[in-house]
Amino acid sequence: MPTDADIFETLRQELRRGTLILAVLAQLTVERYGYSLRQALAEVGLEIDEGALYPMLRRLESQGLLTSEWREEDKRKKRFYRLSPEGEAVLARLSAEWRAMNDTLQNLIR
Amino acid sequence: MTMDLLDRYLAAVAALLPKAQREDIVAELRDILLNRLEEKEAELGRPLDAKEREAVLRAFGHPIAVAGRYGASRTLIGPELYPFYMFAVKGLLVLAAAVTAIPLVISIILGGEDAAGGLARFLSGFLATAMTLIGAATIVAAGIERGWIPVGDLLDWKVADLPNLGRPARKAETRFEAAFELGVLLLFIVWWTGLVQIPWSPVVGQHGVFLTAAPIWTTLYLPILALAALQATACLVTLVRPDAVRPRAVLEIVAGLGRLGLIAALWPAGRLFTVVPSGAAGAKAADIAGLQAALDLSFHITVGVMAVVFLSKLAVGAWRLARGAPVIA
Repeated sequence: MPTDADIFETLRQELRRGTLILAVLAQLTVERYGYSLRQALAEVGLEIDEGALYPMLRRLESQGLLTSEWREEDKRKKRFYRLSPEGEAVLARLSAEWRAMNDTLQNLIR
Repeated sequence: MTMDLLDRYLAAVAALLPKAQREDIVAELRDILLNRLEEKEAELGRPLDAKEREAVLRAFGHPIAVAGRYGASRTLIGPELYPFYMFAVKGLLVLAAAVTAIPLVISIILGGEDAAGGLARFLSGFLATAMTLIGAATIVAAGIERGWIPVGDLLDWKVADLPNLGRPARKAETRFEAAFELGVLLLFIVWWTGLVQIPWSPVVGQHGVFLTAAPIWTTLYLPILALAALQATACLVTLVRPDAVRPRAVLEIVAGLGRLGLIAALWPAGRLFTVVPSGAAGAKAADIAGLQAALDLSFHITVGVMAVVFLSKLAVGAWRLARGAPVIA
């Protein structure tokens, strides 16, 4: 039998899932590699599990929203990601959607 | 030389990854894990020992789980398909129960099996059949989920196609029942044509006698097959186009006439099974004759009842043909 805490956690995860994609896209207007992206998100208070982040980056790349390239930095090969032109367009649309949703919800949960 | 723990871990993940992306993903995972290890070293202010390195890798997840995150599809049957899958599984359980129970009941009635033994055989037969059918349904559903099995507009539906459960007269026409009947008929066809050997063929070789099929079955082999195929077609039409009342009625009438024809051919033959003694320890001639007479009598009673049932079904079919599609308000 799930406890209230379990139910809350499941709902929180569901709520978070969609917003993380938007956050990742927003952070990749500048080029970053996975680790630095995770740090950048953590700095603004968005902790994201690596196990979820890296497959997400690959999925977004396979959808054409990100481009990536391997480069050497700090004597180590790293994969750098950034938004593709399609990704920029999708980010703009998702951002507008987010703002509209946020305005509606602000009124509802006031 | 012992393989470094990180390499071992990455090799285990790599073995589970799709070949085309393996090198790329492993290179990225290596970078992630090296970062994690460095982070931990920075936190402790010293190099990690083997135990601590292992703890970092363990915390990242089991290789199967890590590789699984990179898979194209992470669910065997998705939430859209799952309710249909569960519906099919329930239907298959009923089908498995029926195909296991019917031959056993016949066997018990014929005295070839006692009830306790029959129950044990039912349970083992039901489990094996149910597991096989559910396994097949799972493979098909997973195939549909991944797009390997195209379903086209099969799952497309209209409200008007739904069975009217509020009207008892139409209860028998639900798609579920058509699907069930179709399943049973297909099983019958594969058995009749000898494509598969049914593992639970009725035990009829006990008490010193055998029951063998009467010659009439050989004569009627093709008509029975054609009738089963016709009936299966009618079920298929009900399943795909439940609103096509008239085509279904025509098929039902043709099948009904076929069944009556079958009865007309069976009646003069007089018997379905011939009782023969088994081996030297066979039963006495008088017992055999008695059993044969009882079987022949029950055959005539059964066929008589069937004729009445089939005639009523024919009348219902004719009424539907005349009435046509019901008007949905």
